[in-house]
Amino acid sequence: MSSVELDAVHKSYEDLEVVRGISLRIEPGELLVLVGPSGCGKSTTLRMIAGLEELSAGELRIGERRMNEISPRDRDIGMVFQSYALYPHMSVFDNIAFGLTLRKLPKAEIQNRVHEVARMLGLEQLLERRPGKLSGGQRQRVAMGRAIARRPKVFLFDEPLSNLDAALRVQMRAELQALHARLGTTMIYVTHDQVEAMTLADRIAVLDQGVLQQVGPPLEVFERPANRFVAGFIGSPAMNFIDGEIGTRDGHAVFTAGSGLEVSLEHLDREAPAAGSKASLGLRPHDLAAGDGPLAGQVEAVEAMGWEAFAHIRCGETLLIARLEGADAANVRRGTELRLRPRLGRGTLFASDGRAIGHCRAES
Amino acid sequence: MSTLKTGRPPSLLNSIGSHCALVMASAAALYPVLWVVKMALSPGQSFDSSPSPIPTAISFEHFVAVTTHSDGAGTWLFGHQLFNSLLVALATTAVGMLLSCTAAYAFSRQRFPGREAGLTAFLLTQIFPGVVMMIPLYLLLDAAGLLDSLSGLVLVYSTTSVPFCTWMLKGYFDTIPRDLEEAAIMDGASSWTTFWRVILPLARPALAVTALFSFMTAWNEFILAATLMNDESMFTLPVALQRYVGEYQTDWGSFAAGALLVSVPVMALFYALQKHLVGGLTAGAVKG
Repeated sequence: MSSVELDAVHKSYEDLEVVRGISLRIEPGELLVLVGPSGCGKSTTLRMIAGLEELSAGELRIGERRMNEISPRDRDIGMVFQSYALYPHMSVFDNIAFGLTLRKLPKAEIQNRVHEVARMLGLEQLLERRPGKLSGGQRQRVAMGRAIARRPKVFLFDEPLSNLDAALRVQMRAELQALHARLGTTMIYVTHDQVEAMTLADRIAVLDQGVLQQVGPPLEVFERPANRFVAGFIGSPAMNFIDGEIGTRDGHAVFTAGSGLEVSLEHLDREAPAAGSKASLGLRPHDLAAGDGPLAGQVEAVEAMGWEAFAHIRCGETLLIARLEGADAANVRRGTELRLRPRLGRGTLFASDGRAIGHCRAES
Repeated sequence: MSTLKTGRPPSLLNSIGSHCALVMASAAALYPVLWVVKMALSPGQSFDSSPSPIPTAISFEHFVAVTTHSDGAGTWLFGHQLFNSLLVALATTAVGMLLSCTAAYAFSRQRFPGREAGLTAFLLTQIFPGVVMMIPLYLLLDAAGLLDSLSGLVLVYSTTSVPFCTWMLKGYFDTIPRDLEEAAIMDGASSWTTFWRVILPLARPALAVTALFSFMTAWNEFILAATLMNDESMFTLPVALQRYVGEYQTDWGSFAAGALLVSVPVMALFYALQKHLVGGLTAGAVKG
């Protein structure tokens, strides 16, 4: 178990700057998920930690020791690749044992460790098979087994579940959580899937265009996004943004928008900006309810999920997504008019540069 | 698993048609070979010139004459020449494979100054036929004192086989995912271990094809060997065969028997490697 620390880490390829000064400390035993859209620099960051890419600037420390010049094989890191990268010409046993034989462990010890890992991951029956004869989920487990068997100080996962089907992904997510609880090893996990990030992480680090946008526990990132990018990226369906400005009513700050929308900022956890300043209000789909409200528009699409439905409603320029429940969900039809009202005391207020000004949180 | 694109079984007419075409093509390919067999098995110089490829009489005298051929001093020339051929072909293969698989791996994976130029230069050497280089090669070997020596011949053959094999193998190495090497590095493998234990075993089909090609080229080569070798005991088998084609008369029977004997090792190799060959020839064509 070791900490991993990135200190102003940069990576450029010729003129292209992929990672722009990331500073981040991952505590011993923590499971940190690096999440962001494709091309945000998350995989590059992971590969720099692994040593497969050199740092252009900054420092990387693992267990307080500078790692910039240390070769990948001396960093004591286990890595699971997106493609699994199993050795096709070796049996499952040999795949898992490969790193151990390279470290010249005694034969009996190798046997013990491979069998222990195989038991942990349910691979005992498959040890003699070649990777080509395994299903996707089994290959995934072998890839994890190979990383675990060496008992490294840090595990790196590069989108390990993205090649699996949805049901298997859910299952493997649970297994990964259990594995982390059991091993207690520091894990860094890269994904573009915010659901994976939310469900697995102790803390989430959101990246965009090579810049760290926010780091925090999943719920905090969800509830209190630092800016519009994080707010739009975390949470599915994405947060709605309504552009408007700050006004006052009865001496209290309110958020107003063109359609006659007026939302009280009474519960804002920061001081509201001066009246007249431009701002936008971010509302999660579940912060909008059907009913008599100032937001009205035509339903463009309905995603029926059973007991709930997501309705896409065109309000002038803005497309809003609302989560409807019960009778509202059953009755909503494409092409009909729907009126929405924001739930009281919800939402995040953003400045015009995208930075979050504050969050409305009424006790409910 | 490969799936063929045939949605339904071919109709009977189609089947008969394609079989007829295949039989005819096979007959066209086999007919000359059968004629060589007929010439080799007919006693004396008396094989009949009828179109039938079946000999009227059978005798192994030509095979005996070829395999027991000795010079005036009682040196068993056939044995020497067989040994020469084998040694040259095996040594060319060994040198070629050793140099080309390491070179190809470097060309495939490393980025270094001169990489592009090196690859182009390797390709250029393949454009010129060996005959064009005969005189310079002769002069070079003469200067190095390697005329009439097997090591000289191996050196000459390697100059053509190394670039070819390097290109072949580089093409194959390019198709092996880099993830595998990175996984090996993370597992603690050095570059050499990665190459030896991960990459080379995966490249087996390509290695088999390339080795076979090296061997065949060296085994069958005639012109360079005939030019560079003067002493009959240093001849390789293709050069020795030339002895039966004289200025005034040709010993067709022995020539044919010799030709058959020379082709046996190549056929045996093909047979032994055919499983890898199919994989090697289609390598990189289909992934997954």
